[in-house]
Parts: sequence; C-alpha cells; structure tokens
Amino acid sequence: MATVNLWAKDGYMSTPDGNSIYFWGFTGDANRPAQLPGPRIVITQGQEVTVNLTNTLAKPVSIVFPGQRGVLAGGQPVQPQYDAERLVSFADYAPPNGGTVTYTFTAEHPGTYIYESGTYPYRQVPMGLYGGLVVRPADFDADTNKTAYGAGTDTGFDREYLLITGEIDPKLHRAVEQGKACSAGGYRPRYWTVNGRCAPDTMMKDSVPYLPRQPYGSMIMAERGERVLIRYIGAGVQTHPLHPHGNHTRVIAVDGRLLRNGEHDRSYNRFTVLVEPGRTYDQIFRWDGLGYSEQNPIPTILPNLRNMGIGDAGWTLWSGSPYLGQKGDIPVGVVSHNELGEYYFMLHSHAEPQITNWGEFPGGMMSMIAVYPSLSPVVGTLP
Amino acid sequence: MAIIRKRYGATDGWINMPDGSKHYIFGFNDITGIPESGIFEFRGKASLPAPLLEVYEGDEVYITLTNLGFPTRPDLDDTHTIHWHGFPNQIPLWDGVPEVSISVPVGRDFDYYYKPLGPGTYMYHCHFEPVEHIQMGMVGPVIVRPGIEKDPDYQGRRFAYNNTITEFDREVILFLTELDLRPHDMVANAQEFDWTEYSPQYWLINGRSYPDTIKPGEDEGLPFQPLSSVVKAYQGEKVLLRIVNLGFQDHSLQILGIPLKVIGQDAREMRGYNSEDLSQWRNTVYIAPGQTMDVIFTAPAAGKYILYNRSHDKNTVNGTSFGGMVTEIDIL
Amino acid sequence: MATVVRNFWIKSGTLSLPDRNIPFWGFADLNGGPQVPGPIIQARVGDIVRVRLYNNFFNSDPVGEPVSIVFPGQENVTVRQYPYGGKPQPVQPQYSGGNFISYTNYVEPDSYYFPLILQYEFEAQRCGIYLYESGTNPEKQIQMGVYGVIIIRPYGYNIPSHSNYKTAYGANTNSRYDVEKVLVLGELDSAMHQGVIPGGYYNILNFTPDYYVLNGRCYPDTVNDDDDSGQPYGSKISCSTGDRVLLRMINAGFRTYTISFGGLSGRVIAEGGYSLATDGTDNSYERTGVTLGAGQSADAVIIPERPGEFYIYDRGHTCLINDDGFLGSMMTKMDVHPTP
Repeated sequence: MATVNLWAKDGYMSTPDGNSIYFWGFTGDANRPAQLPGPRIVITQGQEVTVNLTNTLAKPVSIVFPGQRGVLAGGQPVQPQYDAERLVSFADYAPPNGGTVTYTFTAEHPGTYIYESGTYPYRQVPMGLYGGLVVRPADFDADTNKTAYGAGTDTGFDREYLLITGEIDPKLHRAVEQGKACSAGGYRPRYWTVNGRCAPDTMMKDSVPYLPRQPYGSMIMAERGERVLIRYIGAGVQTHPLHPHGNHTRVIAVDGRLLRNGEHDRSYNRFTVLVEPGRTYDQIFRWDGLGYSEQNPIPTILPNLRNMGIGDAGWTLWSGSPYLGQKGDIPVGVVSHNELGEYYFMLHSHAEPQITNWGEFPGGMMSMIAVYPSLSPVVGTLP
Repeated sequence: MAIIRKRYGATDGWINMPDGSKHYIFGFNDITGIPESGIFEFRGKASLPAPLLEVYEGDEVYITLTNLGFPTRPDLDDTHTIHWHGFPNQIPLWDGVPEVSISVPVGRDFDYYYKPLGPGTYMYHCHFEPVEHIQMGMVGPVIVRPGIEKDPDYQGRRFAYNNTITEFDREVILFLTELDLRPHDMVANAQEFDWTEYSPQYWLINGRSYPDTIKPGEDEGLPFQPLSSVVKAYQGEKVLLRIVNLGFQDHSLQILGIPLKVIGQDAREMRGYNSEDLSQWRNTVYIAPGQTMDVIFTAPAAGKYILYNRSHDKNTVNGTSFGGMVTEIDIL
Repeated sequence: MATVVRNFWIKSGTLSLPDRNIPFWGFADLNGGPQVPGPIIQARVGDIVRVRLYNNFFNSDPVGEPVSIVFPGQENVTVRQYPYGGKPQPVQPQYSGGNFISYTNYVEPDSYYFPLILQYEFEAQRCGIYLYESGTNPEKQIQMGVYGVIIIRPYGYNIPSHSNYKTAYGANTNSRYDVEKVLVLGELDSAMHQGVIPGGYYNILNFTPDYYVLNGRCYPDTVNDDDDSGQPYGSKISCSTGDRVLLRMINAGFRTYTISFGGLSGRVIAEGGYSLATDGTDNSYERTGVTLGAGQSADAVIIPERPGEFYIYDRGHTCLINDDGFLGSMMTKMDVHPTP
C-alpha cells in the first residue's frame, strides 16, 4: 500500500533569462509551494496506490493516469464529468478552493507513466499540472536485480534518470494568471523545459536554492560502460526529437509497455527518439569510448589551445585534455567547470529553436550526459 | 582499411530558389588538397548541402576543419565545429560541441578523426550556436558503406548494411531541410532573429526546391547547390533512398504508386535485440529532425512517379507557386 | 473476384461547425450531396475497384477547378476516359508547358472539354484503410474536404465459418475485432474555406487551422450518430466490456496528431496498411496513444475491461478555447456497456 498526497497550487517558475512565469503545479506537501513538474511518484508493481488530491486553485482539477487499469475515484470507477451536458473533465475532479478527491489503483505493469490533469486538460496540462510516475517491477532489488521490467527482460541498468519535457507559452500563462481567455490556436511556446527547467538550469543539481519551484535537474551522470536507463515523458503538446550525443540508445519500452512479445524482442536503436505528446519512452544508453588514453594516445595533434575557441562566453565544461579522467591547461580567460576530467555529451531536442530561451541559444530543451571516471553509487537513483 | 584525409572549409555563400530569389547561407566546402596559398579563393563559396562524406566502415578518416571566415559578414567572428551526428562512442574532443570541447576560430584549423565501425546513413553539421548555424546551412550527409561490399564474393554489388537483404542497384540521398528567408536575410545584414518565430517559406531536398530538384547536379543557375534529387532507374531495380532530416520540422513523405520498405533507421538496420527482423513497409515515411532513414523500393512499371511531402502546405515556393519538398522518380 | 464501382462528382457545399457554418468541397455520389469524408469505398483483397469521376457538365454545384483522384497506397492505378478513351493507361503526373499541374490525370472544369468521365481503376492488393483524395491543387482541395476512405478487407471477413471472419488483415494477424471504427483525422482553416477562390493559386503559407475534425466533424458533433448531412459519419464508438475494439485511424490532414486512447492501452497491430503480425512474427506493440503524421494510418485494438465512457482525443490538445469548452477539438468517445 502506498499513499501519495498531492496538492494543486499555483506559483511562479524561473527562466534563465530572468523571466518569472505563473504556472499551476502539483506539490507533495501542504506547506510546500507548487513545483514543476509535480512530485515524482515511485511505486512497485502490485502495490495498491491511494492518491489524495487537494485542490487550492479556483478551477476544478483532476488527475488521470494513462496506462493504469481500474482507477477508482472515491471507490467508484472514474468517469468523465459534465456541467450541463458540456464536458469539463475526463475524470472525477477535486472542486475548486480546497476540494478533494481520492484515487486508487493497483499498479499492474512496471514502466514509466505520466500523471496529469484531466480537467480542461488543453489548458491545465500546458500550465504545468503534470508529473512522472515510475513503477518498478515486482522483483526489483537495487542491489541484485535492478531492471526496468523484471528479470529475463534484458532491461538491467546501473543508473536511471527521468526526463520530463514540456513547453511554455508565456501568453497562455499570463492569460490564466489574469483570468482571461486564450485561444489554443495561438499556442506559440517561447520556452522549452526538461523537468520544468530551461537550460542551463537543466544541468544543475536537484533542489538548487535559487529554483525553489523547479526541484529536479536533468544532468545525466554515469561511469564508462554503465547502462543508463533514461526515462522520457512528453508532457507538453508538441513533439520533441531528443538526440543524445555519444551513442545510440536502445528503446526498450513505450508508454510503460515492454517492446517484447514473448521471446520476440523488438526493442530498437535510435540516435534520435521522437517524444510525442503524452508518450513515454524507456531506453538504455551506454558509452564505452574508443579506448584512448595517455598509453593509447589520440592519432591527431592538439593545437595550441590559445589559438582555438574554448568554451562559450568565457566558460567551458571541458577538462582541457582529450582523455577521460585527465585535466589539461585551459587558457587564461576561460573558466572550466570540469570536476574530474569527465566527458560531457549534449542531450537535446534537434528541433533547434527548442534549445533556446525565447530565441537565445543556449537554452531550452537541452542537458548533458556526463561520463565520469568514477562516480558515487548514490548518483542516478530515483527518487 | 583506407586512410581518408579531407579538408573542409567553413565559410558563407548564396543559394538560389526557383522564384529567382537569392539567400545568404553559411556552409562547408571541400578544399582537400588545395595549397595553402589557394584556400582563400574558397571564401564565400559554401555549398548546400555541405560535401558528402562517403567512407567504408573501418576506414580511418581525418578531417581538417578550416574556418575561412565570412566575406559578407567580416564582423562576425563565430567559430565553427564539425559534429558527426550519431557517431557511436565518440569522445568530446571530436564531437564538435563548443561548450564541452573546442571550436575553430577564423583562420585556424583543427583535425577531427573518425574510425566508423558500422555502416549507415549519418549527417554532420556545425554545433556552434546550432539553431543559427544549422538553419544557415552548415549541414551535410555522411554515408558509411558496409564492409560486405569489399568481399570478393560480392564484387561490384552494393548494400546498405552487412546483410544481403539490403542490396540495391541505385542510391539517392534525400537531404531534407527548410528555409526561413527572414533569418537568412537578417544574418546577412547583421540583425538578430527571434528563433521562436521560425516559420519557413521554402522546403528543400538536397538544398533545392522543386522544380530545381529535378535539374541535373551541374546547373549553371545553381552553382552552390550541386546535388540533384531526381531518381532514375530501370523497372525491377532496387532503389535505396537515404533520407536525412536536418531541418527543424517533422516531415511526411509519400511516393504515389510505390510502397517503401524501411530497412534502416538512424544508421542501424531495423533489427531487434536478437536480430529480429523489424523492417517495415510503409506508404508514408515520417522523419523527425535529427533522424535518418534507409528506404528501399523496387522500381515499378515504366513511368513518372512523384515523391512529395504529404503536408501539402509545404509543397510551395514562398506561397507563390507549386514547388518545395518534391522530386520525380523516372522509371525507364 | 468482384468489381466495386463508384461514381462521384466533386461538389461544393456547406459544412457545420459547433459555432458556425462554412463552405467546403467534397465527393458526392451521383444522386447525393457533397460529404466529408467522401463516401466510404469498401472492397475485398483481389477485387477490382473502379472509381468514376464525373466532369462538372451536369454537376449542380461545381467547384470550378480541375479535379482528380489519387490513391495513396495503391499500386498500378490505371485511368481511361469516357467517351473516346481507348484502353486504360497508367496514371501519370500532368504537366503544361513543362510545369507540373497535377499529381495525376484530371478532369477540366469547363464542361466543353473532354473527358467527361475519368475512370480510375486498381486491384485491391492489400488489406487496410487508405485515403482517396484530390490530386490537383491538393493543398487547397484536400483542405476544402476532397478526401475519403477506402477499406480493403480480407476475403471471408463476413463469413462466420471463415478463418478471416471479422479480422482486418486475415487469420493470425492479431486483428480480430468485435467492433470496428474508422476515424479520419483532419483540420480546417475556416478563413481559407470562407475565402477560397476557385482556379486561383492559394497562398498556402497563410494556412492556419482553427478547427480539428474526426470524420469531418468537430467535437461535440463527433459523438452524434451517423446521419444524412454533409458530414454523415459519427465517430462515437459503442461496445461492450471485453470487446476487441479495432480503431482504424488515418490522417487526411497536413498536421501531426497523437491520438490518446482515453487512458487505456491499445495494441497497434498494423501501420500504413501493413500488418505487424504476419508469418508467425509478431511485431505489434502496446501504447496508450498513437502518433500519425500527414497521410499515415494505424490500426489499434483496445479491449475495455469495465463499462464507462472513455474519451479519445488528440493529446496535442488542439482546440478552440473561447469559454472553457472543448469546442472545435479533435475528440470522440467510446461508450462501453456492461456485457449483456
């Protein structure tokens, strides 16, 4: 039995170019502000889950759980709600200004799922009422049986990360803030987010103090040769072609369903995965490298770094050396944020206007995969 | 395995659309073997797309990137890089992302090294301010040929992957991009463009809009757009289309009357974890930015067939006439 | 093998949206009015499909432009003219003065030009759902409503003793169904419909859809029954608990849509008219929604496990918001009744 308490609240999120944008979001504590995205819920296959929603907003809010079976609201199967024959919500909702609703379901399948508002969803989901739900297989054990879908499914991993993508159209958020109508036909995002943040904030840790409403970072960290389970959720309304540098990913499941029919394993490899609205993708990334080191040096000559462009606007994540685990001299005038000689590979949307903050690069739907020479085992775990 | 040495120059240039308009671009050109005293003749002569890089798996490929500068924008000191999109297990030094390695300033060179270990269709592009440099045209195709083609038992035959079911007779690259004339015009005039306003008016295959797509590669009206997109084959032949999307939009392509078999995607054969056959037949192929697709069709009865974007609002030349992401397939 | 013959005009008419009416163009049976989508053409594998497109000479509501039909997904389509047509020829793109003017053979709008009838013909080779749509000025005509659906079924689909009975792709293709529903996706630019000028080149860069349709209707009209109007096909699905509901979705529009299955998981058993489960190999897969680019199709089997209402909608949330309603959106619903 797992109990999750959620509150629907409003608040302001921050963008790296100094904008402060009104949003609606879920939070896991009555005294904490709304967060973007909502709290991560991690449960185990077979667990019965109770979700208590309290709604502080002035409009009704509900939660739908795509991919979950037998969801009940107040003990009865959820059903669409109407106001004088006009559809208001796909599911029973918590009335405005303090109303509550309780959902229960049993998580029958492992996988990655979205939870999102089912009430006026064309407005409430873009406003931020979404979050991620991870269901671990029943036989999961963090030490001996760490898989995404159970033993024997070829889905073992060493580190895992959850990346929830979204967009923000400031015009929509301002209209909702001011109680005005806004036509979805004019939807034009100016910001793109991963876990509620725009790059470069995406590369910061979880819970940085200057982003109190956006607690989740998206920096993926692993050691060479490790299998990294990257869970994508497309919470926005656009499609996003996500491309990690450094290697292909093996897509093992879609929408929380393993790409396998009996022994027939139809998982596939991609270097760009298109994440569509409301869809989830589970994939395994692994970087092994090409075997270069000081003992097996690169076959090209590194020119004098003072003749090269190093970094961007005075900072770089490069170590100054071509080799993993090594640092080299960075020219004066550039600050290197490299810690241990780790390698960085950008992971980003390839629809490039989406990696800007209102048109300015770098920004938006972009983060990094950092391959470390060695890494603490607590990195890359959920929650 | 062969050692391939190439030198690419990064510079700017101009391209032409069928309505007579000219548009400013950034791009690469091939200056391999040009003596040092002669490389500056290549300033201002970028091609769209950038030169095709065609190598075999196992080859050792050295590419020197030389930043020749922008004659039309001498004030713009942007650096450049080469990012081989999708190269497996690459190290950051040769991955071409300026923020995590190096980039090449005007007048400088840098050597990239690649030893491709698997066949497929890839692409390369500059990764400095990618939203600008990609749209401006610093984009090109890469083909890695399978080792099976060097096997004496398969002498003279061509394959997409190391699998005989991927054999083909003719091969065509369809390099998809779009062009929004506003940023190209603004960059030529040292103005800033709000990239969230991106909305193209031209849709291109191999750097050209129909009807230029069916003109031959060498066309005096298209000196810096050297690739034709017309497909010619004999009935019964197998034709391989290597489709690359380096635009910013998803595209849906159809060929009336010809079913398409997708045998590769993102430079990997369509196979599952235990080599299960995942190749798929399609009437419409859908490709997102940053993806590649290998599609084979069998040339049907003689005649002319049209390949087009099923989002018909993209088959236009700036809204004034039919054109865009369209080409012709002539079966003889 | 049978021959399926259809006789069509393309006519102009009026389309009903939740908050107003706009002009449209659509296929019409000879004695009927225009409709969107056009009349459903049904055939079995091996049948000859013969579609005759009539010239506007006797057309009471001509659209004023050359018209033609293309059949994406069909091979070896031939065409012949009536009268004086001679033998059928393979369809070919058409040019004038070296310029491309049509994706296929077309019929002129002026009643004095021959041909008076174009007869397109092909053999239905593969099961699946396919579009038939305008091949002339399609950026304008398809948007105006000139599209319809062809359903090709396996032999025996309606013979209870046959192994292909009530399957979309035949025995052993995981495509058996109890209830089948075809959903044709599309979008409408009302300004284009109001302002279209026959014969002129429409600046398609102005294309800005503001309504989204399933089977030619916007929600809430999608959940009404079939009727005799110009948008005759409803999109509501009625079934019972435990039914295998086959959703057959095809995108006649120009934009991409992600159809969400109301929170339920469905198994995609065919894409583009090609079965994913054939010859003992099962490449089908489950998802909670499917994405269709322009021209794409997919078949998914959903098995609802409890009674209730489930809304099936575009998760790109395309709709008109004027007062907190879902008006103008791409949405329908599945009513699941308890098993009797």
